[in-house]
Parts: sequence; structure tokens; C-alpha cells
Amino acid sequence: MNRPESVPRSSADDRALVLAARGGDAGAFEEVLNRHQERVLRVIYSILKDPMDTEEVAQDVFLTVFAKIDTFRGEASFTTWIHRIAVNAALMARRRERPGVTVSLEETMPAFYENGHIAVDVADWSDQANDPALRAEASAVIQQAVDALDDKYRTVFLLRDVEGFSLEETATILELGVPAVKSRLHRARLYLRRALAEYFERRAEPPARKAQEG
Amino acid sequence: MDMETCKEVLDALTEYLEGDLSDLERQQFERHMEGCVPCDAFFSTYRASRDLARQTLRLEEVPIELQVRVRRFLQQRLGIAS
Repeated sequence: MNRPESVPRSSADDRALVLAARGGDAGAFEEVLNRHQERVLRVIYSILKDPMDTEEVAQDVFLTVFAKIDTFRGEASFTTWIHRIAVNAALMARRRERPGVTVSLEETMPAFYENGHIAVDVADWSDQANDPALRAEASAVIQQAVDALDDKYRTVFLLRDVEGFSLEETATILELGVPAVKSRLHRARLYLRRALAEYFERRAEPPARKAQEG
Repeated sequence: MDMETCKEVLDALTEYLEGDLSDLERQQFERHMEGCVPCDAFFSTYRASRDLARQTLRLEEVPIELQVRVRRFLQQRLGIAS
């Protein structure tokens, strides 16, 4: 489900609003922030997870937008432009101790025979994923898995699946080709699937074995 | 794109969800799913994981004070009367 915009707006409108805001127009300023602030902040916050860092980066991003609006031509989408600035700024500010998980297809895809047929059984816990009683735990598993992912998969996932940008918009924001976006998106989804599979399959283990594991 | 084997079909999960398969490929994909229990299970759980992640992460809210502070900062910098 995408996050819809209620009224179609052109990038030329955004450009005009930003120029007016820069000139001190309070109404234009409010409108620019109403349109973009929440989503931009959420994207930055998803990457940085720290409110203070987010505040600092967000301020820089909007100042950059206001300062550089003259270089924005209005042919490309204003929304992808501002989000590109935001993602780049957030990624630069991110101080990661270790690199995130690189998703291996070997670990996240099932085994296949040489003829391409699947060689294993696959448990179907998709109904349980919607079970309200398990929701809190499953969500925690997901959150942890998303946080563990390397930025190159995580940002694609955040932009496409969480924020609802199209593949093309995501590609523009991240300055990647669409095939690269699809590949990283697929790997992110595989990784999350595996994290949940481990969780649900552990839950399904018979109690005796769980007790032995202590 | 060939959609005969399990491997080909599972490699195309994101293409399918993004609507990037041709009509023929999509039909082949769906037909394979109808006839292959493990692939169907993998697909269902793949999609359920994405959906749960989407819901979980969309609940993340930026603290409202943060939005207010950013707004005030910018107003000040731009010399906009509040």
C-alpha cells in the first residue's frame, strides 16, 4: 500500500513555493513543510534512529534545499530530489561500527536440484504472520533484521516498501539503475523472510526439544 | 524469462510483485504456484514478511517535538515570522 498524496502536485509548484519561502513568505514556507517535512524526517530517522542526529541532518537538508533551489530545474520530481539529498546526508552522518549484513542468496533461498526443482520442504507460516497474538514478537524480529541489513539493502527497502516510492523513484533517489534496485529489494525481502522463518520454525518446535535446549 | 523451474520462479518473486513480468510469464508463474506446494509456501511467506515489515516500520513515528524544532529552526534561519 503506497502512501498516497491527496492532490496531484507538480514539481513546478514545489519550486515556486520554496522560492517564495526563501523570500520570507510564511504561507509558502508552511506549505513546503506540510508537503515534505514528515516524510523526509521519517526517512532520515529510519536511517539514523537517533532523534538528535535526525534533527541536525534534517535542518541541513532543508537549508540545502532552500539554498540550492535555483539549481533544481523542475523537470525531475522535487520529491525525489529532496529525498536524494536527505538519504545522502543521512547515510553520510551514519556512524556504523561494523558493516551491515550482506545478503547471501545461498543462505536465504532454498536448495535446488540441478534441474532447478526445489529440493526441500518449505513451511508456510504466512497466516501466523498476521496473528495478532504473535504480532509484537514477530515485529521485533523484523525490526532487528531490518536494522542488521547493510545500508545498500535497507535504504532500498525503506524507500520502496515502507515509504511507497516507485521503483523508478527509488532508483532516482539512490542514483542506481532499476535492475540494481530490484536486486537489492529482492535480497532485503529474502533476508526478512528468513529471519521470520527462523522465528516461526522455532516456535513450532515440539516442547520436549525446546526444554532440552534449555 | 523462463518460468519453468522452481529456481526460475523463485528468482522472479520481486519481478512478479512489482508487476514486471509479461502476461505470459505471469501466467506461467501463477500456474507453477498452483502446482508446487513448497514454492507457493515460499512465495506466501516472502510476501507476508514484506507486508509485516511494511506495517511494523510504518508505525515508526518521528517524535512530534522534532518536527516542531526543525520547523522553528528553519523559520528563524529564513527570517519568517511565526
